[in-house]
Amino acid sequence: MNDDDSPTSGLDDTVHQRHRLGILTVAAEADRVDFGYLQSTLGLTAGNLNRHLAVLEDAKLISSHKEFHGRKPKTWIQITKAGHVALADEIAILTDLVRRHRHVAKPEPAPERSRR
Amino acid sequence: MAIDQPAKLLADLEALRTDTRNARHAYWLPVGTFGLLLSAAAPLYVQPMVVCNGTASCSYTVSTGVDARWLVGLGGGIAGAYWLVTLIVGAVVTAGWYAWYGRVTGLTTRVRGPVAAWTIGLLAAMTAVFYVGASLFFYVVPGRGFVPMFVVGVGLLALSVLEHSRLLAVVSILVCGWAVLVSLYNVENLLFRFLSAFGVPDQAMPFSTATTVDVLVPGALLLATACGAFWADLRRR
Repeated sequence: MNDDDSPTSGLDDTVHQRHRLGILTVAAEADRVDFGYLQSTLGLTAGNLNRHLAVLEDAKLISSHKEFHGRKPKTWIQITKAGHVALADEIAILTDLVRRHRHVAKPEPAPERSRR
Repeated sequence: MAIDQPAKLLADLEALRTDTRNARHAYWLPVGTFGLLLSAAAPLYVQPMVVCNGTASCSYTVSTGVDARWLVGLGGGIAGAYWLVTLIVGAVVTAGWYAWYGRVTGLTTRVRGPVAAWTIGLLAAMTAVFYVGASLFFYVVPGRGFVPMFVVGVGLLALSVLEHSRLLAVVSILVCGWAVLVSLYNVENLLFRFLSAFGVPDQAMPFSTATTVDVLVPGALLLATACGAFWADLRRR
């Protein structure tokens, strides 16, 4: 099979990482999402989350900005249009993969017996 | 890649999406606010009664002293002023509530859509009378003063889109439909027929208060929806 024909060839390495997909999924559900919410929801350390956010921001799939609420700084993450597209593409490819697998795994129906 | 991985990943992402959506749901307060405000409008729709010819009851209109022309599209008089306040309070509560809720939960919702719907609807209702003339305005939009109720429903429909809430969408459409119905038909007649079917004599009919069903029905519907949404939120947390 040619690499381009492979069902997994459309997967984007930047997006196709479990935690980065999680970040995009959460960010796509809200206008903006707080760093702390992502950290607690995805169960990541601050450093780990920061690294994933940096990868996504470099790919222009998210944008982030800091705000101060009183003395407390907050980092808000917002998904970009490119991020929405990348997430939708990734979900479509994964869904297609699962569909193909189920189609292949489905046993052939037994031939019907002729009635006497 | 093991083939069960994508299926598991998709299931996990779906669960994450559902959890995030549930954590973001906060429409119970705006819906409850509008429910309270609509229900509280009931006294404005009580018809003062006088005895005509000593035998039958009939209604008459009391001058409210509030005759601003820009309130005509909102129902005129005190009722028009009340609807003006209702829409402003509802929009401010919604914007303020979602801003606060977003800061607390870490998930913000942009409520520009519903606030814009209420603002544009309010301005349109207030200014239409100047552009098309009162008689034409009342010909096109029956002048029973329920245009603002329709605007409330449209704003809540916009909110339901943001919240991805089918329940709120259905309730909003019902409020809009009710606003159209009470603009075109005296629904209190249904109440009279219902009471009459149970043998209530004409003298005992609630002629003066029956018109309050126009606002009490959607008010109660919104309050029930808000209570249900609040209870569901409490259960999820």
